[in-house]
Amino acid sequence: MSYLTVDNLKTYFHTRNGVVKAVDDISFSLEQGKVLGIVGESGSGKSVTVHSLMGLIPQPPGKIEGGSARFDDTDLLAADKQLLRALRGKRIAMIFQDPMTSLNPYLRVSEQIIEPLIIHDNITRQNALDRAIKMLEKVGIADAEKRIHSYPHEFSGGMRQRVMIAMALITDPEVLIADEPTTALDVTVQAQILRLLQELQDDLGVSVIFITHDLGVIAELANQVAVMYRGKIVEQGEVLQIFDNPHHPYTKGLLACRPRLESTFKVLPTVSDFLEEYEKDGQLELKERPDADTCIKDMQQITMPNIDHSDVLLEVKDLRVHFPVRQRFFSGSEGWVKAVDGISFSVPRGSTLGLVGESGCGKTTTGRAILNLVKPTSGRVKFAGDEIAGAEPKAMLPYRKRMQIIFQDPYSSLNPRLTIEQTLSEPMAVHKIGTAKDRKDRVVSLLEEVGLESHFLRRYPHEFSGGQRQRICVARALALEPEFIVCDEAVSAMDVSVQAQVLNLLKQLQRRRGLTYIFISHDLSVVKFMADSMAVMEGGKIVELGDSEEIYSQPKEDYTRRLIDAIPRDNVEFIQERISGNR
Amino acid sequence: MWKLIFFRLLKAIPVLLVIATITFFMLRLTPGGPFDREKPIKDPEIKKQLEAHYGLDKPLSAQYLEFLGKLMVGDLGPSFKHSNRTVNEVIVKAFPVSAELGLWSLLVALGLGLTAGMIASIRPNSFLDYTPMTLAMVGICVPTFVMGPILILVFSLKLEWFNASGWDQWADRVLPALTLGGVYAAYVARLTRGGMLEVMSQDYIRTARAKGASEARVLLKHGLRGGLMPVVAFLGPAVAGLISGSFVVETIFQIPGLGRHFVEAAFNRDYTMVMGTVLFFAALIILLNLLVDIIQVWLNPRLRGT
Amino acid sequence: MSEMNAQNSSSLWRDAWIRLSRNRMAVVGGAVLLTLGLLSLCAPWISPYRYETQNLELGATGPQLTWDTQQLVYGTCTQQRAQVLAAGYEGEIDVLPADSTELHRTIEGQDYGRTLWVASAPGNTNLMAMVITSEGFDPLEEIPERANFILLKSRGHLLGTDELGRDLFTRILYGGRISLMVGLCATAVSLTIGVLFGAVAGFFGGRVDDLMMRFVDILYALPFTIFVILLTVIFDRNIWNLFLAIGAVEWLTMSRIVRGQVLSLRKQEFVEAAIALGIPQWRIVLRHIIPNCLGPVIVYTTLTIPVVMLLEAFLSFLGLGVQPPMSSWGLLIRDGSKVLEEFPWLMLFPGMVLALTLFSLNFLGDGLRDALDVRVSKD
Repeated sequence: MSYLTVDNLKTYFHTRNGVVKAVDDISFSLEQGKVLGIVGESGSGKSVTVHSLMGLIPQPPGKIEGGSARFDDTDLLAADKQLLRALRGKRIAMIFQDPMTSLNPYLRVSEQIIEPLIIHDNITRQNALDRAIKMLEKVGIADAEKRIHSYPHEFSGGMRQRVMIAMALITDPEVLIADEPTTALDVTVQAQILRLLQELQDDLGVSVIFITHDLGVIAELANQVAVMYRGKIVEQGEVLQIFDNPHHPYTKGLLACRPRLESTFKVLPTVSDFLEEYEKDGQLELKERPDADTCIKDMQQITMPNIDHSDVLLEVKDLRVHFPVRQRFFSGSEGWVKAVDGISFSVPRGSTLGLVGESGCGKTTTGRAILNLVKPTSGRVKFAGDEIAGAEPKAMLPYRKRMQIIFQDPYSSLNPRLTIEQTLSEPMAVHKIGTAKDRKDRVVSLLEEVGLESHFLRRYPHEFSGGQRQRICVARALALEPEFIVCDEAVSAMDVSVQAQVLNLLKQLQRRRGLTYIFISHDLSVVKFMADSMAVMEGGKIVELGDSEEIYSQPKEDYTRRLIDAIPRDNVEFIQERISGNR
Repeated sequence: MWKLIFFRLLKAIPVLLVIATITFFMLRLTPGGPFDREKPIKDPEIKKQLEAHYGLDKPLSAQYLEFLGKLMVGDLGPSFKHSNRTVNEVIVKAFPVSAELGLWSLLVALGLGLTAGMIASIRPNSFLDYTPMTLAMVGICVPTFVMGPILILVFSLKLEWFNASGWDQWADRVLPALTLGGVYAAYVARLTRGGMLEVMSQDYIRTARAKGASEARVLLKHGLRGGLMPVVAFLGPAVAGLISGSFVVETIFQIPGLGRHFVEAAFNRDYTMVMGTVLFFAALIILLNLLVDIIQVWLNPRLRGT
Repeated sequence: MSEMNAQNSSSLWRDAWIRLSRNRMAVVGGAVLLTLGLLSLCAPWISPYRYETQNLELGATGPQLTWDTQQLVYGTCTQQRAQVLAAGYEGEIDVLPADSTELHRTIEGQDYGRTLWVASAPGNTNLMAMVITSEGFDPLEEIPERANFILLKSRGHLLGTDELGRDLFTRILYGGRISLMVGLCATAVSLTIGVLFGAVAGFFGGRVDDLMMRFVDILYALPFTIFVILLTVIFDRNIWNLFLAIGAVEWLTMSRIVRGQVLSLRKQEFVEAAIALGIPQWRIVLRHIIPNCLGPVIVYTTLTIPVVMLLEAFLSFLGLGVQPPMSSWGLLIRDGSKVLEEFPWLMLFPGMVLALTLFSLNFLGDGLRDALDVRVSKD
């Protein structure tokens, strides 16, 4: 039975630079007691869709241009504010992406959880509080009776999201809209929250619209799936059908470009291998490439260079980085944060070492300490046989040419006041490589190497998309012809389709130039795709180190196993099992 | 909380000491004493007597120690120019007047400012926004010493509603408080608007709306507190500003407050009086800033130590 | 990728400039400032008067909104008045025909603007006349319609005169020189101290930063204006000390802003990348840190000028700033507010000019802030 039916929804934003059709004529329906997953990359319009339904679009500049959303005889899009308010938080509840900012920092959690009850139900405060405590227990917050009187900042990210869920479900809503509720969380926490949502959904029979960019999450949770691309739903259907037999080239591309634990791709397919975009009469047309499958097969016909394990380029021994924690002026003693606490590993020339772990495990500090961007407290870093740990800037200079780093955030890693040409030629000028003319030629060839056109030279970083910027960062890292690059969460901020392109680029460069990488990421499947060997970090220590294939197939440590289990499973068998098992 | 107050008060002592020392030496080390400038006393005998009377004939270090010693027990010494009156007496008599003026002005600043700022933030970039914000800009750009005379001109000289000067009846409070509070009302209005707009774009406001809270509830329960944080933070500088503003307003309206005494003392180079009032003001500002900090901590749970 | 087809690439500075030029209030503010600045700068060439020139007999006159009046005045004058008049008279003395037609013929096409004094004014009902000769002056007895005439000619006074008969417009222009100069110079002082202090603290970080910022915190607790007043009490009230006194207390916020910028920039990944590329420290500072700090510094500088000007006006109003006969807007307002009831324009015009300047600076500052997209809060 259809519960919430959206027909021909159109939401446009009227900006100074013209009309942006954020949601352009989409229709879908939510069935009672089911989970509808809406999946799409950033800018696809998935969040705008649900915000439109809830009347949460800022107007202006946003405007709902047409369509209807029937919920139980009410058209949500046409309903007056009063009516919509009565539905919101009572019959349709919502949870948001960032639990850090979505709770009011000034109010106690108790106040915030009981608020929907106070607003919608005729209930005494005490009764509301009792229900809130029960709800908190239900979402897995221990000692709820006491914790309920805390402020949001006293909870961790995962706990806050549990609080959000409790707050949304306290009025027994019929529909729950979850807008990327696990995106800001660590994998293990994400897995817990997903499990919790699933249990609650079974338990309460609430219908869920689940928005995400992550197909894995969809596979874990959804019954129906709608795939959004550029404001339109390009494909929708049962979850199994979408994963097993996708029709639309975009869906195919999206599914294929995700690195997976069990896949053996040497080169990742990208969306553009499946999908051709062109403009016709001012309208965007999408067309399938007929030769996609063979094309992807051909791509895999490459031989990976052999790695000589005795030729060690980088050796790290008992590296420690401790940061002082400054206490208040008067209360004396200084504590230490042991960000990296005695780790050792070595990286053979031409290979990739993956560093994985959850946020705060010390992987990023490790990368920076190797490059002397933070001073190691103790330990040794040998690069090509030379000791460089804690070297002075002058002594470090010759090694700066040989070892480089690529950062996570392509927005803050380019100086906004320099053109691309200035950014790329500066390191060469500083190291006195070639004449000005040579350098310009080199810059052009660097851009070509990372897949950008040379007429971008005079542009400034803000004129590029995130993926393009990251390519520029790669080019900058290559400018000095290094042997070794630290990739610090280099693809974490990207959409999967862009991520695939950048990963392919990094691999291609490694083959072509014989580069050695340390690849830092929280995403095991990405590390698995990139790395030959890997180190799992927890609390500043390496808990498991070895061949990446082996670690995946036979993890020795509990922590590693938990990390692997936490990865959302998106294979067809799993979905089949889940669906048949559930209902 | 008590720890915070204690440490802050502890920290205030060296600050005051530094201020006392600096002012003392700056005043004493510059050539010429209070009896040399403007109307020099010609007769060396009289000058000597005067200097002996005020202890100016002793060596500087002795004077400094004596000054500090007296300061410890709260004695700010005799006034050079008001003969027969000590600085303490002047302060005790004049400060309540200034404090009252300050309170009225603060009331004006917060009352007008908060209202205007809230109204402006409800519909940004509309008529309801531009009008109060333009007024606020006028308030900021027309300084007290222009606003005061204008108010006098219009309301006491032309309309004859209020007295142009004095501090006797209730009605005498109106114009000075409006003058002094007006400027700060303008700042408060701008800060309120900015703070509210900032807060109302936060994620947790969206959460509140998603709960089905009415706009009034969203605004008052979820928005107000965070939106007012900038205003609260501004209260510290505002208090210092009110004090210096009081110099002008008390001069214009001829109010017998401390500000006017300070300006007169500065004008006449009445050193003990200047020093005494500077120290008094400094202590007052430090104290009021502490009060503001306490309010901030009280309003913002994230600032409370865990 | 369609946005990449746009032909011209643009730096952030250019974008900011375009945004600024779209902001009408900011543009108007800038234009007003430019005009006021130029007028003040060129005051000696614009105004026919000097700011200290008195005309006691004229006294305060209301605004006439012109410079080109010529007045023929006749009447009586007491002995005493005439003495005052002659005492204040330093220019050439022309004996003029006493007959009015003759008189007209004589003065036609001649400029007596700087040589003779006006003796009539609105509110000055007691008209006077006298013959001024090279030996002295002859006050005339009461004269009926036909009598000896004497020309007492004056240029008009655009905004009127003060009680000493000094041209208000001229004084405002000259006062503007002082006020604007104080605004610029004291801001420059505070900019220099603030930027250096903040940059050093932010760049070295750690203990140095801790110590320096604690110092700033302590200074923040000091009552500023009181401190400035103290400085003006101790040192002579000359204009250079005023610059220093104001500049010395206004740098605190600037140093905080710069420090914050430097600290956050140092953590930016492009600076880390530069370090990783082996780019020397001085070059990082010059190419990567300074250009990115500039926005907030520019904005805050623009917003400091009105604060400083206000402080100067405030001090002058209290009589602790610029000393007569030099004038500044604050001083003019002070003088004007003393005779508010009789001659309100003496307070209103300088007040309006000051307010207009502050308006323009604030609008320009706000415009710059929006254009450069920086958040500047007063701590």
